[in-house]
Amino acid sequence: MGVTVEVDDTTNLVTSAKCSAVMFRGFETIVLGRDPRDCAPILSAICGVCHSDHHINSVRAIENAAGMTSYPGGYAFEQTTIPKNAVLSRNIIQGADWSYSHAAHLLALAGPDYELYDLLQVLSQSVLITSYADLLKFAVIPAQAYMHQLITLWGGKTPHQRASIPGGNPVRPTSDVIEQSIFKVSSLRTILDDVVPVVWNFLTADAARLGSLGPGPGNFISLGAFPDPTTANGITKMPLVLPRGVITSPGTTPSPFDPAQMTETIPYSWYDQALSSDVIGEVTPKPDMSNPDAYSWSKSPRYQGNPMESGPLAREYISGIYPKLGQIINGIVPSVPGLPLNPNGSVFDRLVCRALELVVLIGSNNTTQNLMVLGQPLNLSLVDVLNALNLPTVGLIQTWLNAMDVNSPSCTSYNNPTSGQGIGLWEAPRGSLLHWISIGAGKVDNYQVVAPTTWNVSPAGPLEGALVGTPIGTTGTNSDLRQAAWVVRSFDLCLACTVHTIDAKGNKRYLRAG
Amino acid sequence: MDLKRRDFLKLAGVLGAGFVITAYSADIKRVFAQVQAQTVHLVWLQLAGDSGCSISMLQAYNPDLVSSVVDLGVSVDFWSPFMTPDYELGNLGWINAGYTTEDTSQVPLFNAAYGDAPVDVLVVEGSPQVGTPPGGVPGGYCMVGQMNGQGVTGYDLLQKLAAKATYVVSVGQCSAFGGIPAGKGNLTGATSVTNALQMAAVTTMNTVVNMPGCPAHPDWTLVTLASVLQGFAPDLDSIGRPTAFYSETIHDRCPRRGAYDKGDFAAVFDDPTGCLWKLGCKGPITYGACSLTHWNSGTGTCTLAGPMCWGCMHPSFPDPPTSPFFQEIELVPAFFGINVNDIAIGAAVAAVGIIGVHAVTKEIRGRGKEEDDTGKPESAEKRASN
Repeated sequence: MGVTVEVDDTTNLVTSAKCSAVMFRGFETIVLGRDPRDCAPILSAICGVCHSDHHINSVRAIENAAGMTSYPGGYAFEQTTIPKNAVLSRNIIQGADWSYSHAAHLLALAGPDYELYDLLQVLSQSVLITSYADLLKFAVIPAQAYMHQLITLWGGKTPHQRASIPGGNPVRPTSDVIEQSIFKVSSLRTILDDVVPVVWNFLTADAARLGSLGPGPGNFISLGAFPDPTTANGITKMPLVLPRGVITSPGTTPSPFDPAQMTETIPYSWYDQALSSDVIGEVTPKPDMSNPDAYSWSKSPRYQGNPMESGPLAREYISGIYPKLGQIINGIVPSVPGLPLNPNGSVFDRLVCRALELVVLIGSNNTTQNLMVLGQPLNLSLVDVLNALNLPTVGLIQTWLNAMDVNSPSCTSYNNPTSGQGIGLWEAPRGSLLHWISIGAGKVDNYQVVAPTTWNVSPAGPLEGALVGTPIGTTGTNSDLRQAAWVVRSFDLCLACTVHTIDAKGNKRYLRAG
Repeated sequence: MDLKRRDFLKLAGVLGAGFVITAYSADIKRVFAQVQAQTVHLVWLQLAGDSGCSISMLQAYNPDLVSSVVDLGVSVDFWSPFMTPDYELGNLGWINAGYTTEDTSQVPLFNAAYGDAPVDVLVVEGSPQVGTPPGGVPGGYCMVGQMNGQGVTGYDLLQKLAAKATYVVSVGQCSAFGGIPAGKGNLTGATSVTNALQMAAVTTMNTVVNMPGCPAHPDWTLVTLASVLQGFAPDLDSIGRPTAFYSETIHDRCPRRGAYDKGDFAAVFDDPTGCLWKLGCKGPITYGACSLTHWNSGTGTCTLAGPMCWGCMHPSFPDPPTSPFFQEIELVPAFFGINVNDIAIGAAVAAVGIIGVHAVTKEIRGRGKEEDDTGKPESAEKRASN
């Protein structure tokens, strides 16, 4: 992944940016002709960072093709025949996957951009953490390892748990597995209770600057996550804890998602330009590097023809959780108008939503530490915030663990359809994920994936737009690109988020990301 | 106790990988400290993969990665996902990306490949792609940055680095055997490091060490890296795998092995205890120490959780015989007049019969069935010598 920015010599602002995905593997052709059930364990390897998402979503697409699941209410709800336990264990795996990814991004990958949020100074007073290496050793590595272990309890190994299969998830919940899982969650909670308030206070103290940096298109998409089988309707009509929806112009209220509005355009991509831009029914990609306008293997997913920002900010914005937090804060500190701070999104909003989502999933025991905004006390602890948002203080993952039917089945029978089409809608830590399968004569005859990172980093997509206007330094050193790197990294790109400057000389700058 | 040339990998073969990892963790950590002192240079090259093996390394338990890599310090010259931004080097105590501002030849990766920076151990994650995209250059499916305004292909970097390195270690299924990017139907010419180097007529100083698995197991990988960083050659089998970790099948010590011996076969995927053979488990044809060490600090393994072993360390993964994944493997030939159904039915009287079946399976394995199925050339029989 490389990013090239053009800089205006007089204003020292970025005037244009190009994001190049420079590796093509072609998964969509590798699954052709195979048994539909074989797609998930292969497509899992699309990403080793959000490693459970492609696997589970491929299974979901196949279950949809087999008529086991559907999306009633215009995609607002989900209906399934797989057991409640399987719905919950997929939520748990998914929640753990997001939690590890967010913790690693916030602390290890984005952390150095912000002098680790002064964590070392704050934590060294109570915990034996005095260097970045210590922080990695005692907070980041254990945090992500607990979540990997949690996935392993339900999926066998991680990265690449391949346990989810059409029809369910094989691990039948026992009180032993549930207790071990709760231990992993509470271990991460202990770390976050030390770390998150410090990160929050650091980011909110710098909100004015970070809130104006890296504005996106102001259009957001969430394909929805965490079907809830614990309501009165059970598995027959599950609402989504983080709903599906789109915001199609800055600052407006979300509207329902419709897959027919999605396209994948390729004018700047290395593919045969005669290909259709349909997502559903699109033909398999044909690489062609002779397109003179192309600079990326990434296609450009669009909704109603427009680029859409996707990720934690989009999810928490569309779910209403983030705006509600904004109302709470506005009632205490009126100088904060609301959240998102920037209706188009910003570095601030992206980082805060990542931390918020982490706390929503893992919960908090911190009832004492006062959170601040712009240096003013909110007189709220993390537990107060969760209570004010009507969210469980033990976090969503633990509520799913507690809702399991112990020792009851977690799989139901599944038969390969001889023909049919299915769609899987899901969210990876860093964006919206769509899988679409077409089955003919019992084999895969077409498969399309819209991968999470492509929403944000596609040619002419949100990241390129967000970079325009970013100030660039004039010292002739790599630190000139610092703020540009913050913008890039705030999107939490797939393939690890390290952005390295390779050439900081002249007015054309090149950053390498992952 | 100092590590001797009789490396711990040999011990692992005798005592079991899990035992060695625990018992010798202090020694393994010391190796990384010695590496730092001796400034042994390690480059971690990512090709067509998914970074899953890098993420897997973060799950290393004992020695944990941070201790190891922090001890390695600046000796890791390039490892893209874990390098801090270059402007933040200072005293963060982490890997120094070391970029300078003006001369791209000073970028550590390029300097190692094309300049005079030494490379002792090259780790490759992801498949080399040797194909030429329409309208592109050979290897053009994977570009790894630019040098002096020109795109650099991953395949070219691999050739230059591998020719220079004392040891090449292919970490993960993609680099070891081609893996999923090289699956049937791929357009990119993805293949194993061994194959790609043969095609380019690049010879390596030592046999390429293969650590297959999707992902590679972190503990096995760090033990092996500790060995080659010391300059010790691990004992390898005929296709380059350290015998310490790949000499038994997943099935041999499967947590559900007792069920197999009793003829108790799972009929549904959420059966918590039954043998998964009939559901499609590839444990009997897949070599690896998963059943011994388990994964994620010993938390679990695929055959414990279900639905099965997918064969992710088998040289042919994801193609036959590992797939169709849900198809029962036919390890027992029909002409012996016995199959798994018979064993299930005859469980009560099966003791003698099962011994017989094992003799058969062992014989089949002994004929190198697994390797013959791959269609991928075996690496040289060259055993790295002490």
